[in-house]
Amino acid sequence: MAKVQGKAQFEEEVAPSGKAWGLIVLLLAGAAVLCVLAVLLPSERYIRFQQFDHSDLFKLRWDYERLNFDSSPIDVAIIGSSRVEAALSAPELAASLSKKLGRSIHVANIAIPYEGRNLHYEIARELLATHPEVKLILLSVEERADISHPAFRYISDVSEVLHAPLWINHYYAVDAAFLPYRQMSFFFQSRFPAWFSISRTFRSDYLGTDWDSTQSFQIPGGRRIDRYVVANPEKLAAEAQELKAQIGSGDGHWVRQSAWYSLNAPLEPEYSARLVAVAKEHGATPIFVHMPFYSSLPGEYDHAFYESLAPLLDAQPFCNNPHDYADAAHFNRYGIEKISPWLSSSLDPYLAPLRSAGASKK
Amino acid sequence: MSFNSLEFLFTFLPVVLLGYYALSLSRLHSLRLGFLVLATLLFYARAQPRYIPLLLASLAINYGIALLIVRTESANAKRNWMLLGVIADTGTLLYLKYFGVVSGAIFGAFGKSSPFLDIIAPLAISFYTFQQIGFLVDVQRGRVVPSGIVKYLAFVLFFPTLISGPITLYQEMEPQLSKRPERDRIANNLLVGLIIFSFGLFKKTVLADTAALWANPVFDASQAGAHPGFLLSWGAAFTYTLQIYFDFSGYCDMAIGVARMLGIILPLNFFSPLRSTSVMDLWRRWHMTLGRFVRMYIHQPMLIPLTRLSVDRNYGLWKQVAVSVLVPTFLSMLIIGTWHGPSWTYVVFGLMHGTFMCINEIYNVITRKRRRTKKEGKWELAFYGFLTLLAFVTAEVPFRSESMTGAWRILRGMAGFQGLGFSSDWPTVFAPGGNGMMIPIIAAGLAIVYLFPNTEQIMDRVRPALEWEKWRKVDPARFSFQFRFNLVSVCAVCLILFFGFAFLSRGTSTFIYFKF
Repeated sequence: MAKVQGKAQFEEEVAPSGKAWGLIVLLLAGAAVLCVLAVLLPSERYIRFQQFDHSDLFKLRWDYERLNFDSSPIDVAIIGSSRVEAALSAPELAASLSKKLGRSIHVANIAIPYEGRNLHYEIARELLATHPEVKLILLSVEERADISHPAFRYISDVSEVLHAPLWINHYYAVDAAFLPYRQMSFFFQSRFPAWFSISRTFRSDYLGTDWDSTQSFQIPGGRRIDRYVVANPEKLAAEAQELKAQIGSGDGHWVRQSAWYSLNAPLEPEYSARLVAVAKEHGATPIFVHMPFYSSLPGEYDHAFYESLAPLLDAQPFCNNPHDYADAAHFNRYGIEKISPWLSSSLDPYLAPLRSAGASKK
Repeated sequence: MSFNSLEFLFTFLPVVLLGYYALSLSRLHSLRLGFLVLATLLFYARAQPRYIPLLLASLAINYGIALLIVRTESANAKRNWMLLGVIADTGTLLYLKYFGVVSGAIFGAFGKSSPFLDIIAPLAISFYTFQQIGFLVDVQRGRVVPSGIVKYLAFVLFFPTLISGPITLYQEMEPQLSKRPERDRIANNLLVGLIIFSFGLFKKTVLADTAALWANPVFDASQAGAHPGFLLSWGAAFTYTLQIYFDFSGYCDMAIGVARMLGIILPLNFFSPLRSTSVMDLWRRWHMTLGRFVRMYIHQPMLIPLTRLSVDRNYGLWKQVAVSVLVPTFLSMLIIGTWHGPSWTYVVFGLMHGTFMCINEIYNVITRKRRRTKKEGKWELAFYGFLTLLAFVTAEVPFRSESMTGAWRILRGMAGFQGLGFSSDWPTVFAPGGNGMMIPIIAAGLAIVYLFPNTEQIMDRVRPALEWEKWRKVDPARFSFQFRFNLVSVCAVCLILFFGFAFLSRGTSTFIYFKF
């Protein structure tokens, strides 16, 4: 049992001021050096893409496998948020384009739920590095995108995290501070993959080249994503109103962001520009595709910005039938069946690169 | 704003330290406490700006009542003013913390919805209320005299202690706050504070948050209806015990460290409680400033009249023990339990500890004579320590559970009624190594607790806490090491700080005691 003692003579030790300052500098500098050393630890890219295996973002692993382990070529890639992940069917588009062009066209929908253009840029880089044959890249458009994707700091190279826009990026410090832990964690995961339920080698139960995220499926954690769900119209209207309120454009006209907002949200413009630039550099044509939320009005997003970068396709005419929506922001299968032919025909003006690629192959 | 946030570490803390010492060393040094008060209001406002008026009103009312107590000559009037203040404080606390839930239960019994359900207790209300109640009682008892509104504000609105303690006394803070920092001690205090803070950060982000990876899924699943087996239930109870210990003692180290950076030494709040050999001993070493508050302002005021009563009525030994020891002890523990919030789980936690304490008291009375003549042996103490740990771990189950239904499922599992193993139908815990890693995690946590010195013991040479003289020789660790102002010690702390900082980004959770 603790026997608390009475007051005894006790002389507190005090460091001379100069020595204490020196030790403070040493302590902080030492911790900083250790952080740098941790960041330099090697990590395997495949492991990075397995960090979300048990979440809504489990598809990241499939993306990596489709790009790196699957030898099927990719002619058209779909990159973006859940809006396009849920609405643009790769097999349906591939079938339609193949028919038009008279040769087999391969389409991969490698879009990932949640917004965040910085992740789209990272996935585009991975795509272009592994599939230089890609000719068209379809990119999602959000009405007011301003956040960093939650997976960005997990999958990006260290240099990409550090080269994110610094001024004024609210995510920069959080993402950069994450690197020492991330690199240590990845390093250990590489050495002891079984402990972390991950794999260093291509899995045997790969979902397949033609896995289609616009069909119903089950998330590894157990939750089922049913693409045939039809939203309750009243609930849908309420959700749409909420989205409109968030966007701040109740009357259907694009409200230019304030200077303060723009100053605080550098990610979307910066990474959209980077993405378009890297696509063009590799000879791919980027095309923005807007999947509208339910009952949205034309012009509720910054058309001019996206059109200044690349062509823009807008599925706005399909947004008024509540039966076509699973929730306010996502089409269901009934909507997808209308979107697929529309997308195929909307792409007609941009198929020249695919035609010429086919001709050169012949 | 939390101590384990980048905002605090890289913006708030450096700016406050810079401002505080710049003012302290200039001709404007009298403004330094005002600066601290403003910084604390900003610190608080980052979390709950809407409760700032309530906080300020509480401060104004308590200080006003303290002045009235001082200016009143009649002892009865002083007492009445004090009681008015205590009732107002307690009433506000009870209303904000309990009324919503209690009214919900009452309305619910009649099949109606309570209109008071949206009453939410403001952050830190318990802690600033306790400090102010202590202050009023001490002013009435003549122990302290208010020495200006700014010092009073700085005493209550001291950001290192505001949110979750340690609960300080005016008499231990006022002299330190009044003293202008000495130029020669600034670097020393910054270094010592930074080191203590580093230990706290490590405890929180590396140890507590790791233990949580295994504890949380079991408690959450039990709440959702799962029936964990024997090993899993004990594993969850042990990992949660380690989590809350490292979480809260880590928070206290961080508070003590930040205060020390400002040149203020705080009281101890933890002293290796899990190494205790009795429940009574454990409560002397766990959340020590809450224990001190309850002892000074609840237990003793109950104890004195009850002891008088038992002496006056000439009760026999056991009746006297029951009236003057067991009743106030049991009630004090019940109050400590219930203070945590309006839930039966906390009531049960208090009842369990009240029972444990009473058993401990009765055992002490029975064995008093034997213990006078014969000291407990090593193995006997180890056995007592084991029993104490089991009792504490068991009581943590209702404490952690969201409802008694969830707690009961784990307690049944601990009793072996739901199978012996990890339970074959149990979903995999998405933590490295899965369920089986619980055992090495618990072993490592207990090894840290039992074999190594606590933060204050490591920092022994630099007076890490108030009244350290009383504690420095208590319960030395098996492997003892102390910080010295040399390269080796600083390099070791470097590693601690690095891991504490790196793990902060793992997805650290908020401190458990923030909700109390």
